Amino acid sequence: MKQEVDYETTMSSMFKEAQTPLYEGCPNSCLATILLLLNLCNTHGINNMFADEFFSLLRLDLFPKDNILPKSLYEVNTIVKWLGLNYNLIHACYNGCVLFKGELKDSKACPKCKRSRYIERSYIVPCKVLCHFPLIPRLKQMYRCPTLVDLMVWHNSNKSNDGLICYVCDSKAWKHINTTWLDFAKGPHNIRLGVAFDRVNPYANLSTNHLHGQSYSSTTICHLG
Amino acid sequence: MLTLLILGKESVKSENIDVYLQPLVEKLLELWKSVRTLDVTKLGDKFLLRTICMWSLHDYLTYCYLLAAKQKAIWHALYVD
Repeated sequence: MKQEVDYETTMSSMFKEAQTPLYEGCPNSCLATILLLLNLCNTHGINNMFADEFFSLLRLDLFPKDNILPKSLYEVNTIVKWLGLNYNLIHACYNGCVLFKGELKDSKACPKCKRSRYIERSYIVPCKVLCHFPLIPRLKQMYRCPTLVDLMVWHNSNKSNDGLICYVCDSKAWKHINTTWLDFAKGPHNIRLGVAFDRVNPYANLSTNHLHGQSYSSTTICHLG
Repeated sequence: MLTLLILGKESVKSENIDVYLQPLVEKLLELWKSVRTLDVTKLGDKFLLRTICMWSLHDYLTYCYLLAAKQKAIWHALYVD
């Protein structure tokens, strides 16, 4: 609960701060500029060192003296982190017996198969890592954008009248949920999710043998309205 | 929305898929109980957001994994259907 309050206050104070223009007379806010620059760096695969110097160059030499752009990539990341779009890395046992979190957070070997958590001759590099993208902040973000909020509650006012299925909210499963959990059906804000599980090769055209012959399995959440 | 990315080509099997899905299921349970959220269109209006997991979409292989059943038996059942 305390974390939740902290999150809300930090978000609102950060938004106020970020809505201030980059320098006097600049049409863009500081946050918008940061996001545009980060997007550019990401699209062209620019390394961190370059991005770091790029930000400091903009801050110190190129923009007018009164600008408030962060002067390093680290400071940029601390601002962007509070948008709630970061991810957690969870170490896992190589054979998939356990995840090293909670009670097993500091253990060095799997309690079931006794295999080491780290690769051979290393105490730092883990065998297997699971990327977990927290769902709750992402869903909360959707109610922070006015255009998205309209789309999130769209299903409530646009049901089909003629008995034909035009959208998923006319389907049998949707109606079953509405009749089974009446409290749930009352709130138009409530979200129905779909889970999809598939394998991806993150290296597009590259060989699947890249990175020790490993590809990724991913779980995706579809938002249905 | 991507929620989990599991490293490894053959890492997910029917025996251990539940281990990998733990973080996701924890969050889904929390969301079912309700989470306080701020609606930006009505200024300062806080409400309890709840979600439900309605559908799951997979290929047959993952379907077998999720059911934690023997692959052959499921394939057989699917053919019979």
